[in-house]
Amino acid sequence: MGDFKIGRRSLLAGSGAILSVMASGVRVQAQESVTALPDYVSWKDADALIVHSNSTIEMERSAFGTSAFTPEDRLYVRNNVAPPPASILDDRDAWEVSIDGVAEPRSLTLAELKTMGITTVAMVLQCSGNGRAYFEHEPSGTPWQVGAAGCVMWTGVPLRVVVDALGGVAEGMEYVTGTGGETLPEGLDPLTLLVERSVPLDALDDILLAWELNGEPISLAHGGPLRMVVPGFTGVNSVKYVTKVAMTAEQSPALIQQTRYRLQPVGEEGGPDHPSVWQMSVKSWITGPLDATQAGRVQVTGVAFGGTTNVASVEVSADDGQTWSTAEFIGPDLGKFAWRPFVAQMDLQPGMYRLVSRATDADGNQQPEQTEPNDPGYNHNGWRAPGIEIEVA
Amino acid sequence: ETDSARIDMGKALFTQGAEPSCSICHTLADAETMGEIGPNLDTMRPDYDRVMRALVNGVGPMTPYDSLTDEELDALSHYVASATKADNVEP
Repeated sequence: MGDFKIGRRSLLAGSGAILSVMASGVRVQAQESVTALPDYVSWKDADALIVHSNSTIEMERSAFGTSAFTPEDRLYVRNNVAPPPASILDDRDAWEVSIDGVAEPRSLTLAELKTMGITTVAMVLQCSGNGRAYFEHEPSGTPWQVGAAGCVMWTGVPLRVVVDALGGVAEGMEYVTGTGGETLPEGLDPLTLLVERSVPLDALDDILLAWELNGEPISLAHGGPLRMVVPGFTGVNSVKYVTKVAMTAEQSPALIQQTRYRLQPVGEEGGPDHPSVWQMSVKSWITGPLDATQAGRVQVTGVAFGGTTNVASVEVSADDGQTWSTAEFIGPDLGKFAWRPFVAQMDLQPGMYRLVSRATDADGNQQPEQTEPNDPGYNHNGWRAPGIEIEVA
Repeated sequence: ETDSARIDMGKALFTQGAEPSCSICHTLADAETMGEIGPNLDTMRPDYDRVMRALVNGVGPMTPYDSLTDEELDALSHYVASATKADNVEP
């Protein structure tokens, strides 16, 4: 069976009928995606977004600007399963979440959570597949470039506070498992669709049960009324419409945990023995200029983040990585889970340039030139492929 | 095999033959299905290769359709791309 599958994959990889490979390695879909925003995100800024499908919506690269955080109306959307009905937002405070795997398990309403504690964390929310378009093996899934990411502020109660109030973590638990409240259809084994993700218990002290995004009640698209937010981890781990949070001895049996979101070699199917898609790695990309620009002093901007640790520095190159200049961070430092916008002031003469950026985190980890491929195309952080070609006149 | 036979086979697989049925999760006007779990195919308009990749490799919560034959995979990919008037309906 394995050979058969690889054979099928090879056939696909060779076709290239809809995908063209540019010199930079960026795959661009010849087919234009739909442009209209689905109803549940009709309030978003359509001009700032690329609609891949009704459940996969990317922010335009030109919409990043130089802000330390991303407005919700520009933030990318990715739903593994269609959102529940909007009526779940009618009475937000009545939303219930059960807490299990603690000494005294019970359900709490959002109203009660709000009395227990409150904090805000700024963090990069990034889809696991952001940058998938830059892998050359044509992974299945949405060909995100850089725009399946934003830096947002979540407000809620630290999960640690809730767990301690319920007597602490029960003995033998190794994971925090969040269950989403999506409505699942009849006729399918629920475990094939259930959005339930487990992250290592080490993350407990960072996790929030959040009810606000950028100071507003969380929209349906982004997981309101309550989302389990896991800073430093890819977006899929921050479970929307969370109905249950359990400290568990094992990882969730749901397929989204067991076989999907795994870092298996190209040509293999994912399984529990492959690493799960959890923590993000150091990453950066250029946000401007993106088009032809005038010769002289050019402000080359971008964003950089470390994933689970602070980003320490970022370099910019105008010659595709042959020579590098140190960039400066701009704007406030919102903490280790946030990104830092940066600028490099470069004097550019008329000609063609390829702008790339390369970040280093506080532990000394630096973006690789290329990311080692994995079959589903997750966790891309190579510096070369997302580069921008510009003409200076 | 005529194209209409290929289309018919693809449509039958979409609505009934594939297990689980595509119709549970996807909206596709031509097949008169209204699933709302996965992407709306009428608006997504996936090309043949994109459908094929999803069927063979899986995507997101969609698991690979290992039980389909190569002929069935071809018919289903061709049908979905054709029914949504995608730009490329062939491999």
